[in-house]
Amino acid sequence: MSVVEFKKVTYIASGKAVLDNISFTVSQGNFVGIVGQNGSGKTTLIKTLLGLLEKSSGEVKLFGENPARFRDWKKVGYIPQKVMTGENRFPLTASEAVGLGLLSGMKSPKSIDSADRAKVKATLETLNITGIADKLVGSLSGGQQQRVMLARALVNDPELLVLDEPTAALDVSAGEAFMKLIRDLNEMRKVTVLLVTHDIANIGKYADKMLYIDNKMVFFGTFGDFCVSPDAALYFGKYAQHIICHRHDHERAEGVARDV
Amino acid sequence: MFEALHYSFIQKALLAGGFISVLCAVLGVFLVLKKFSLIGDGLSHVTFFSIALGLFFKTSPLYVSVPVVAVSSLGILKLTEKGKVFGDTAIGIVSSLGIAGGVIIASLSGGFNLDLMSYLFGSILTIQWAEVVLSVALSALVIALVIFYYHDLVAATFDEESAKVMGINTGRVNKVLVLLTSLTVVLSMRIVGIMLVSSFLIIPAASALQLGLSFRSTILASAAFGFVSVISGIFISYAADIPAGASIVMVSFLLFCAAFGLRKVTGR
Repeated sequence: MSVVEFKKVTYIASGKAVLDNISFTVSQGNFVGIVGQNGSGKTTLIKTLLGLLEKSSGEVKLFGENPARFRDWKKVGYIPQKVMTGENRFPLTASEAVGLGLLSGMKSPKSIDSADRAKVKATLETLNITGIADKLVGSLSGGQQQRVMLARALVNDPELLVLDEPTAALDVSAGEAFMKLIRDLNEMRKVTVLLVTHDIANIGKYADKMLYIDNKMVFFGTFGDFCVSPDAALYFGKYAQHIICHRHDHERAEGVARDV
Repeated sequence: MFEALHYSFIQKALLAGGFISVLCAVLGVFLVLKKFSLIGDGLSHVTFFSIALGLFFKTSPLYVSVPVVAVSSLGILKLTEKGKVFGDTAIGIVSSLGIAGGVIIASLSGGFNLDLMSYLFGSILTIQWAEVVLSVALSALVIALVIFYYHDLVAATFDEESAKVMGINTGRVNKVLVLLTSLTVVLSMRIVGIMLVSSFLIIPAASALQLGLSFRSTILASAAFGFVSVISGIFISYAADIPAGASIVMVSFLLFCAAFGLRKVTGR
């Protein structure tokens, strides 16, 4: 069974097709990068997947189910584009924020017991952020806040991680460290990853598949396929396609050398 | 000053005021963080209309106020969520409608009478035992509901979108929050009065937020600030012979100044 399935999905807002006839499938363990320019429909696409927006036509399936009827939210970890963490007086400690992730799929009245607290502690340890457990989320740096949000998304051991521009507010080294963490989770825990980003280089470096949208689908496949795709050549132009692929080869090789 | 405790009207005021202060302070934390704190102010203006309506038809204003204010709170929520009207604009619309309606009803009944004035500025020292029992019972009910929905409320306040992806029905959580607020505003009108009711919801929460504590501790601190304000405000009112509602708000403001100063000194 596929983890994510879009079949001829269209989403219309204010008379404009933000998503136009989008079809693709994501299997378990895939790391898919969703790329496109501003306003190309990337965030709309994942909001449609998560049931936050209702598609105009077509079929969306999340673990084989319509997102509106999906109940097993424990399987999904999500980091939205903008979390309220910029509000530095928000009275939530890092460990309380991570604990919220345990509420996924729980019935009311929800309660967090000692086993849950142990899970929170273990997740903080995994992401190496135990030192900031009692600090208010708003008082942390951008990189630390994103790690806390990732810990919240991971605390329930999800099978799918949906990340909407998680490195947008981070500097280059914090962004790089965050991306490596996601790649390790994908490789070691076989977590399926859907990553929305502006940075096509990051996709080439870490993801195994790329979905390029410009309200309609431009390309979906591996980076290798992208480099020989006539559709991509037509959209980007042969020269730009060559530059993207060359840069990808170079950075991937550099990344492997650094990791070794 | 402690001889005041022997008077039945002081006992009633302390009991009802103590419960309602805790209730307001707890709800206030969620409202302030959701940037919905002025809903208390808007709903208090609707309460003015419902009280005028109750007095016009010679029924208890409480019985008229509960449904009228509850429906208005849902109206504000609907305007914000479905009508895509900004929260403060929606509150402004409903609020001015409440005042206009109240003034029309009051003028039809021959102007503002003493009863209406007592609701405008509160008269905690004249409340009856039946009102005390109702205040305590409803406060207990609302606090129980907040405990029941505690985690949902925290998650939806921190990050509504992620809360939805956790399977939390944030629409229902928001409805519960505004309905509880409407009930709280109606209960508080006899204590601080319509004009000052929003201070009960806002100031203790704002004071607690200065302390940089965890969520749970912020709620407890807010409840403590609200409780201390009401109890000391009632005693000051008795000793200085000034209106209780106003003295409660003044104590509450002084506590806010202290918390603000503490934050500046400790740099939290």
